[in-house]
Amino acid sequence: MRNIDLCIFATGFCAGSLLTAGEDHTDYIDGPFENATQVTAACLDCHEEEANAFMTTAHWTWKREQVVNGKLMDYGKEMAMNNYCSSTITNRVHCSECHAGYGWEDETFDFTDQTRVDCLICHDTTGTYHKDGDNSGWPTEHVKLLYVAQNVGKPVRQNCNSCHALGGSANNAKHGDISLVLDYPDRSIDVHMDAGGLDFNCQDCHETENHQISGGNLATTLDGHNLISCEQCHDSDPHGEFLLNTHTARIACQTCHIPVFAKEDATQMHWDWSQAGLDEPPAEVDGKEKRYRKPIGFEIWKKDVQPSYAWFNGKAGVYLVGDKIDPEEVTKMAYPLGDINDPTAKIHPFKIHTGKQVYDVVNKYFITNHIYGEDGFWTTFDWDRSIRIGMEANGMDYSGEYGFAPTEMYWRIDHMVSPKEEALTCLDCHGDQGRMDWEALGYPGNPMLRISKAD
Amino acid sequence: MKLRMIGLLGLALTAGATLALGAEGGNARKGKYLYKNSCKECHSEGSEGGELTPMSKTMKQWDRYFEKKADEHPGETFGEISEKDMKDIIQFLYDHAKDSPSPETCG
Ligand code: HEC
Repeated sequence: MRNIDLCIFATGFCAGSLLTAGEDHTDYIDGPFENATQVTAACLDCHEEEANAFMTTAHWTWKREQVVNGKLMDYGKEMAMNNYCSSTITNRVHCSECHAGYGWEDETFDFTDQTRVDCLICHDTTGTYHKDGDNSGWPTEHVKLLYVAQNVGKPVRQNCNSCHALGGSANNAKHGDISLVLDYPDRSIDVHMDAGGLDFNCQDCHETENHQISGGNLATTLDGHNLISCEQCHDSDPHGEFLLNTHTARIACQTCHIPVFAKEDATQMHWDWSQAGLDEPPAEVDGKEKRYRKPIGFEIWKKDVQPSYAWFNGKAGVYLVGDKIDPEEVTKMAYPLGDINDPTAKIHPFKIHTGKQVYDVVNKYFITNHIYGEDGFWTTFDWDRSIRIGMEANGMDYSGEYGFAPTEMYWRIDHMVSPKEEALTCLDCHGDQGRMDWEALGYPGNPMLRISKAD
Repeated sequence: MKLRMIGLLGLALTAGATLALGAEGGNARKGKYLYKNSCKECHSEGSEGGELTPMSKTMKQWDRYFEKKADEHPGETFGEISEKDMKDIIQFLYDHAKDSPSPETCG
């Protein structure tokens, strides 16, 4: 383990970097705690500044002022629409499971109340803290708050994974390149996070200051704000081979160095809501790649997936609640911006998650469905009823006629960097069976063939 | 950071020795990793200890094994593993036992 030392405090101050594994807080915290806000109150005795800083971050606000599809607005998980449970708006009790706070169940939540900050989800070092209770982000009952609070420390991968690997309500449902396998991966899974080797924590790349964690998800960081890159450590001429270095201007490092994602843990590739609520699973379901759950519908899960490739300049576009759709066409819920003529864009790997989502046939927009709770779809399996509740809560008109339209959502692939022996080589892209769709990327054909013909 | 205390701080994680065996206090996700590294070589199909996964026993059986029978385990392995790591391994086995809410083989 790195950064572990026995240190004698001479002045009562010890540099944070020594404390990666967690400073014993037993002497500072004695409880007893009846609920989690009392733990936060104890943390605040020494860490009020940290709470204030945290409360300005997207982990707390779930939104940030940014340019969205050309317009400046507040945007984030609070009002976004995705290709999974669609929207958080009427499903807070469920979605707030991953809010780093306690009790955001409806619009009355007080975002200025410091005691509602959940310090433990990121700073637990015992691995015993859980928020999986479908109860607005309160920890589950069996959590021993005193034990956890006395053993806080700097986050390790397992902390971040508790939400980032489990979004979409199952391991690796969303990202594809972030799953529980990253808790303790070996080198074949990720060369940097290799638990028996470099053992990077998330914040080794996602540099953090004042609780502001750098980096961002494609679907919520649309303006490219605070993004990170491999060049923080590696320069742009990293290869011993000149020809490879000529690629770095237009090809992201990830493209060659992450040849597959969803290593070890499968990821959800397709979610068809139109079949949700059936008592019998559709015939094609095999329980492995093709799965069925009544509340969810039909799903496809895959392991060791070859990425899709697209130009990406760090910015993204999204479907916004209320945007009109053409139900015959695939609507992109979140997608990268950039093209071959954009000098700031590079070819980048993506997971493309496809689906079918419920929409209003007359108004021609997607529906923010009410899924969770006694009157939600997951309980009643009644589309019309849950739609009405969801649309009313969101202040939107519902015609009374619903249907299902095809969608897709892009996810950046940045993790699960393979050992260099497994990186793509020339023919993986430029061979007859190469994995690039050159025409779709804007080339007249395989650029390598052009050069050899010119010769 | 405004830390008020002055003193000598060991950085070892508190072992939580007061917590009961098996059922609680261990880090199951770390336990999965430790199990793979320390146990699987002898406990895969066809190897000397026989295949063993969390689903090989019920929660109660896991508790009983580690309370009563662990001393009989052949070889040095159990003696070489720290108390804290063992606790994490037990938590992994227990949390994913045959009759647990989330049974699991060791993938
Ligand atoms: C050097 C090889 C070896 C290693 C390493 C090893 N075991 Fe075993 N284990 C055995 C053998 C041999 C047996 C006896 C099998 C039998 O009696 O059929 C056994 C038996 C067991 C049993 C009893 C099985 C039963 O059916 O009741 C358990 C539980 C067990 N081991 C757990 C572990 C755990 C946990 C680890 C890792 C901390 C571990 N073992 C590591 C060799 C090993």
